[in-house]
Amino acid sequence: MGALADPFAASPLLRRLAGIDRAGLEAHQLRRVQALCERLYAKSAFYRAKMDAAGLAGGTIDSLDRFTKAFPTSAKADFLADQKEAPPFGTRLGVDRSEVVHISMTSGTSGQGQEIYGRTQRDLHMLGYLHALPWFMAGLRQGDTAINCVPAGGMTTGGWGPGEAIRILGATGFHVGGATSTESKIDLMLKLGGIQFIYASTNYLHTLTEALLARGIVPREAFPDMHGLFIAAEGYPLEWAAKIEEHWGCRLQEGYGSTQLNGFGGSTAAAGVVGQNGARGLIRLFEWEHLIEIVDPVSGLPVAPGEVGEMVVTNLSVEGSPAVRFRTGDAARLVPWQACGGGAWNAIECGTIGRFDDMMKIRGNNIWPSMFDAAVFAHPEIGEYKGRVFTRDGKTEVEVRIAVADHQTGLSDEERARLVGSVRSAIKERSNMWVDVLEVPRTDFQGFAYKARRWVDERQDGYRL
Amino acid sequence: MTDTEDEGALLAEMLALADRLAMSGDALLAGQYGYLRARIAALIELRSFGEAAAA
Repeated sequence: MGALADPFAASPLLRRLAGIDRAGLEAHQLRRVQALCERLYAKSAFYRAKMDAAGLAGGTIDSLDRFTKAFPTSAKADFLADQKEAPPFGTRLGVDRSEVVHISMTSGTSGQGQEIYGRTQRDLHMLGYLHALPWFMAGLRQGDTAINCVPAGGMTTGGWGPGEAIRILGATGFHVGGATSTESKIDLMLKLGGIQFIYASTNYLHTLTEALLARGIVPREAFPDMHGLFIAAEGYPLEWAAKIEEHWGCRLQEGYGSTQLNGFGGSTAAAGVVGQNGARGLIRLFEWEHLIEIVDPVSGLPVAPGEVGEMVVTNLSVEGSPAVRFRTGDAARLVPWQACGGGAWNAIECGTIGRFDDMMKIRGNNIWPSMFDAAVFAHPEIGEYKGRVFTRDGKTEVEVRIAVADHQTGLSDEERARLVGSVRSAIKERSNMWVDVLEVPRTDFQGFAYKARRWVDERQDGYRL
Repeated sequence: MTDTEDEGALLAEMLALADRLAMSGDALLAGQYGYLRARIAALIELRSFGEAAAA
């Protein structure tokens, strides 16, 4: 495997970021937190009310400790209530409405509603930078050709960052996501020849690799110039990651990002997802751009090193619709900077980011079981159901098994077939996904009483190359 | 150029120039000048850590 050129050697700015000590980093964070809070106190009614309620009059913050202890957290429900009260942006905006040049929304698949984010010109430049930063560290350089397998454009934040990132790094972007089949993408990639970088969801990188291998194509031979693969969004087994690196002949990198962070909040830099001694690698957090706390979801207190906690995030630069101490619901294992083998940036373990609620990432969408509950139980004939997410032929599939209620056993075969079709349509309507629905005997679900047990995610079992 | 302070000073000058351009009365160009100004402001923002570290 070819060694990746040291990104820190190529950028004095990155070297300064890598060389700062923890005290310097926290001093920088405090300066930016102070500027953010003062700005929001003056411009954002939503955050001004929070600061007033917390005794932070004037938006004055004297320490990071005080900020993380006193500034109230927000969650999706708070943003949605604010938007409902003052549509479309709520009262969160940190700028005048006339400075908003772009709107991003979350997907809305939670069933709770879609968060709306207004972005300024500078926010969009920072969005590009917060994709470019991890990709530069992952090896993307001026003159490279980068394949973006994530659908470009649209209403989400993730649709707009990649194009801007590739452009500002001076690389050549080719945005094949969404519009074409995997076979067509492979044809286009082979036609292009020299490709140096791929950005894809975990699942899609698997699909692409499997499709190449099925055609008898060895990726590292077909694309010998490849020096960066970058994934986000879904967990994976470590053995799979090692196989991917072997097939492609280059390192696999991972990033953690979100709409609230206006891009990526951390990445494996150039170190890869497989760490030393074959253990999971580390996503080092971009703490000079974000304040990322990892807390106990019940007590709100910081977790101990090595423990799993909820990520509470603050982007330090967003002007339009900031997210300050936002409870993401994302679960990650904290690896403090002292245990990272150098540098002052904290880290989280890669490949294992999960959720504290029961949200699932399916085909790039955020899906909550409650959506399925609503679709299935809209049919009074159904007594119980069970869902399974799994990988088949390299694609994420969803199977829903329904059981007719004990009191509905008199249904005819025709009525049962109609019921299955109706459930399938109802799920499609709510989730925008066609899923497999089949009927099973009610006895299959005996002793099955808890919602959390309705769903199993077997996708990692499908990552075998 | 390798001197960090030179880059920072240049960007500060460019921001001041972009501010002057943003006062243009040409509505067709106003948004594009705003874009240019924001690009410079973003560069100053994302370099701010390096500036502080170098200071």
